[in-house]
Amino acid sequence: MDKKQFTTQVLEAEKSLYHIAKSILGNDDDCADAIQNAVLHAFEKLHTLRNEKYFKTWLTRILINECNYMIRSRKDQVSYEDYYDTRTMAQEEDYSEVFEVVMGLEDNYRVPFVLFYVEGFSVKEICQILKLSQGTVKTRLYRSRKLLKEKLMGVYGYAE
Amino acid sequence: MQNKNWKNDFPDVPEHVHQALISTLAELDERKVKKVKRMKKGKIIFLIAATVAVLGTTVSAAEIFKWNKRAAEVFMADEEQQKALVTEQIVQDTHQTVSDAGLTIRAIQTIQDNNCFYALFEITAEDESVQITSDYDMSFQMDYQGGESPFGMFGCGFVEAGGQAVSNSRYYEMIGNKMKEGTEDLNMTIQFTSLDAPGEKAMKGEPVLEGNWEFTLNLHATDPVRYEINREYQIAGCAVMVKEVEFTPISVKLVCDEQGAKELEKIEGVNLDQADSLHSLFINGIKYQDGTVVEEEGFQELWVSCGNGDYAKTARLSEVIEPEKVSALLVGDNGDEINIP
Repeated sequence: MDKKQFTTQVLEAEKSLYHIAKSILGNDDDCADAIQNAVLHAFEKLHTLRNEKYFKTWLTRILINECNYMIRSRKDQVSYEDYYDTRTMAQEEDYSEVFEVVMGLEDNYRVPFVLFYVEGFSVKEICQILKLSQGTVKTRLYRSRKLLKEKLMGVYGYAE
Repeated sequence: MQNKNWKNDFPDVPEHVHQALISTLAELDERKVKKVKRMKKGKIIFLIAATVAVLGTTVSAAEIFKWNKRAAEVFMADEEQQKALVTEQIVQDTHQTVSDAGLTIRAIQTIQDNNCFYALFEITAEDESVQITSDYDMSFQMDYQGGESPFGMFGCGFVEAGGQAVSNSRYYEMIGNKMKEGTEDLNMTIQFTSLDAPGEKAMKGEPVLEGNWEFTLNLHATDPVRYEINREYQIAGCAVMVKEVEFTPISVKLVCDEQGAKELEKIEGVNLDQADSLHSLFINGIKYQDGTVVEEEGFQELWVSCGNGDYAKTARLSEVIEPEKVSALLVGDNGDEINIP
């Protein structure tokens, strides 16, 4: 894959990358940093990608690693839970209520949910990306659906 | 619910995030590190030579050199471990301070092994009205003697607000993961060129102070403690030949045979060409000879390679360990033990 192809594929994946980073980091500034770092890292590691058809999965995994790495390296004094609790989404944005409800899910459920339902990754791909077993991914997807249904009932009086 | 198009409820990419990505893509051609310029005349330089390295008497160095508290917290090292890492030259006291344009930068401490690198600086503005928060940034260039950057991932930034009170002085950290195991010393020059105010969103802010602060780091590559295992283990119901395990006090490397990894690949239903990690070989902790277990928090994987008959991975440990006292490496969800002879 040459630089032009790399650039094209990154831009095609841009929205997915943003949604995934957003689901982990919440804050747009952090998302921009994580996406930038992931793209640079991916470009430097491009020679390790053995099959180009898996570019998006590969890049997504790098992005998630980068998000987690960013949390670890910048928040050494704060637990994940505290960090997630105190993070802020861009205050000036008006997000849909459904989005807010999804973002209100616990991290264990939110990220697999976004990967599967929003970005269309398969269960197998999510296992690869999150380093989880198929059983764990399926369980988390099931629970996330159940939790969302309950929460959406609270918002709309019915589950969409 | 399953047929809903959830994408419609998710926000579009904000313009500043898009612009940040565009500028990153535009910079890909310029990824090679620029050469460091000559120092400006008239600059005040206080360079207290790297006494630890020059003296070469590392045992006495361990006695005279105290870890910076911040670095000790990041690496979770107790006093004995701190001394040991100084002796092994994994930790080095850089003793370099450069002042220019009303800003003083002190290189405090570096920590590195074959797989990772950490550097701690303290940045102080003479003008006390300059309150440096964690949203500030530093511009810098790096030059590596004899080649390309060894880092696959490099992060840097001022210490977060929770870690230090806001004042005209703040710690600045660099963390690098090496692309592949490095057995040679790392000699690098870091040239800071400006202190930058917080920018709009992810964009870099305007320089508050511009100058030239240059540091030369000569970092020793420590030999890991290597154990030849060459024994077959049942991992996730699959026979995997573990060839060797390497430890340093801050990272670990596991080498298995590629055939075993390919078997696990089938069992896990994954594709090593697609994403190169096996869940059942994820490094989850170490066990000491006295039975104490140090668990890993995950997300520490540095690199994984599969080919030429080997499946190898390295991970940074979440706290400093004593390699000589390790009795087993714990992998996978079940904590399968790979015993150290």
